[in-house]
Parts: sequence; C-alpha cells; structure tokens
Amino acid sequence: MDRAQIRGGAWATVWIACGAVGVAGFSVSSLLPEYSALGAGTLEFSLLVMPLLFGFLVGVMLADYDLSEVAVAAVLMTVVTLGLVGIFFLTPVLAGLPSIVEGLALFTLRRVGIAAILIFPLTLTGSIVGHVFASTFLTSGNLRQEIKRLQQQTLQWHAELERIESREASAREGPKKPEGPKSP
Amino acid sequence: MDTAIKVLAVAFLVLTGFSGYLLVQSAANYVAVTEATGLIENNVHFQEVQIHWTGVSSDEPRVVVVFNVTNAARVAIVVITLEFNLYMDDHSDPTPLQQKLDSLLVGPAAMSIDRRGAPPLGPGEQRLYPVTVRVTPGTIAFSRFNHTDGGRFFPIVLPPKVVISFPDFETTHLFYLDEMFLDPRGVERIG
Repeated sequence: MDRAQIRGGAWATVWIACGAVGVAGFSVSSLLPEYSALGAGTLEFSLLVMPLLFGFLVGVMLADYDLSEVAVAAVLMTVVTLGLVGIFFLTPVLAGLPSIVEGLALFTLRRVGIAAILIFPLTLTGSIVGHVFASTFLTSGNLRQEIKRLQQQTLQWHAELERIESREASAREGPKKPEGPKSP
Repeated sequence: MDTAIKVLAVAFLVLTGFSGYLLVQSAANYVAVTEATGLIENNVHFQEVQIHWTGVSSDEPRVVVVFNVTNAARVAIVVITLEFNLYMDDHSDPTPLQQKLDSLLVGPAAMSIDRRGAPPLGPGEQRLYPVTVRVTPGTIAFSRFNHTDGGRFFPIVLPPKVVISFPDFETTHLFYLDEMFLDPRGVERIG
C-alpha cells in the first residue's frame, strides 16, 4: 500500500466519521427535541433531510472510490451514528446517575432501532446520489482533459489493433497462386 | 481538488461542527435534567399545616398545607402541580385509621400552574409552596373537618402527587412523595 492510498484511506475515514457525528447530532435533536437547541419545530428536517444531506456529502467526498465502496462507507457511517446515538441515551449512566437505569436499556434500544430504520436508507441513498453527482459534475478540468485524452488514446489503440489483426490475418492466408490452364 | 468540492468539504466540516455541538449540548442537558428529576424526589417535604378558622361554624375554614421544596440540581426547576387529599382524624372514633380513612376525607386540593407562568426555583434555592383547602360551612366536608381533641385538629395528608418541569426544557416529571403528614401532637387553629 503506497502513501497516496494510506492518505486517501485516512481522508475517507475522516469523512465517514464527520458524517456519523453530523447525522447523530441531528438525529438526537429530533429524537429528544426538548434537550436540543433546535427545538421541536425541526423534527422532520433533522430526521429526514440531514441523513440524506450528510450521505450526499460523504458520497461527494468519496468520488474517487467505486460505488460499492461508497455503499460500504454508508453502512459504516450508519453503524458509527447508531453507536453515538446509543452512547447519547446512556449518558446518564455514564455520568454516574444509576437511579434511572431501570428501563433505560429498553428505551435506548427502541430509540436506536428507530434511528437505524430511518437513517440507513437515507444515508445510503444520499451517498450514492452524491457519488454519482460528483462523478458527473464535479470532476476538475484537468481530470476531464485526462479522461478525454485516455478515451482518444483507447480509440487509437483499438484502431491500431484492428489494423494489426487484419494484417496478420492476410499474412496467415499467404499469397494466392494464379491457376494455370488444365492439361488435357 | 476542484473548487466546488473544496467548498462542499468546508460546508461539510461546518455542519459537522454544528452537529457535534448539538450532540454535546443535548447530552449535557439530558444528564442535567435526569439528575434533577432524581434529586427532587428527596427534596420535597411537608413544612407545616395551618388551620385558619375563627371557630364560628358559619365562617369558612381554610386549611393551608405548606410544602418545602429545595432544588439540589444544577438546573432551574418549576413546581407545576402539588395535589393531595386532606383528611381530618376523629379521635373519638377508635377504628384503625386504615379502615376509617374514607369517612375522614375532607376534600381534595391542588395547586397547578402553567410551566411558563410558574416561578423558577434556581439551583440550590429553597421555597415554600402553600396549598389551600377551603371547607364550605354546612357541608359533609365541614362536619368531617370539625373534629378536635383537646382543642387541636389532627389533619392527615397522604403522599401527594408532585409534578415538576423546567423553565428551559419542555419536559415534566411526575412522582408521589415518599411521606405523609400526620402529626400526633395535632394542629392548633389560627383565629
């Protein structure tokens, strides 16, 4: 694995982590709006639009990767998001308030389940749309020229290959001898 | 990297930062509110019961039950409901209290305030909450109220229902107090 690959992988990890934090923050705000600065008025926005948006952004940032790898990134992002949501619901226990432990595990499990059902399809859709969008519209001028040059080169190679194949075929058949008059 | 992608990357980081702030802030609020709801249950007590009455049967007696609430939490709270039934023990009836309780009921009483209108109780603050029961003369409630032993009344208040909320958070917490009011020395009326 060369240095560029390692750097690419590190950046991909950073974007996945950013996406997970982003989705978790807004999901928690919509699951428990009474504790959030956003309030209850933005519930649908936080729960439906933000996973789509963060998925889209991750898809854009991972434009250099294959679509299947972007899908894996979306799965990883959802898993990390659910982990963060789960940790959030258990913060009273982590803060040493054992009096509310009763029923908290079930409550947390339910909320994380709801989050999983809502977040995963949206994140996946967003990331795929983002990847396609970035591949189509956001490639740089140099990259576009490079792709065009490669396409022309490939066409030239195909033409050259056809010429070589036709030459070889005619060489295999050999020069035809002219037919003489038949003797009686 | 293309300029558009750079702009999107910066927007992504800004959004992530804001979302991280939301996550941390929500977690801090969630812990503070959970702590407050846990602590308040041990910090509501009966202060006293006052009986305001002239002793004339045509005058309306007022029984004031005073609650002492201390906010031991780190966030401000508001007490929005205090609800209970007032009983008056009849010492001339030797029946055990549990069996005669229904016949001792003077009436229900409640204090209920809207969350936005209730005065907030800051962290570490203490406040007295009086709840008044008015007894209409000439009613069954009045006859149950008017029982004294040696000139003293013996009011009983079973564990009341308490509802608290928070000025900053739109959530409520309901619980029943872990104590009842029953003073064996009795209560003297205030003329």
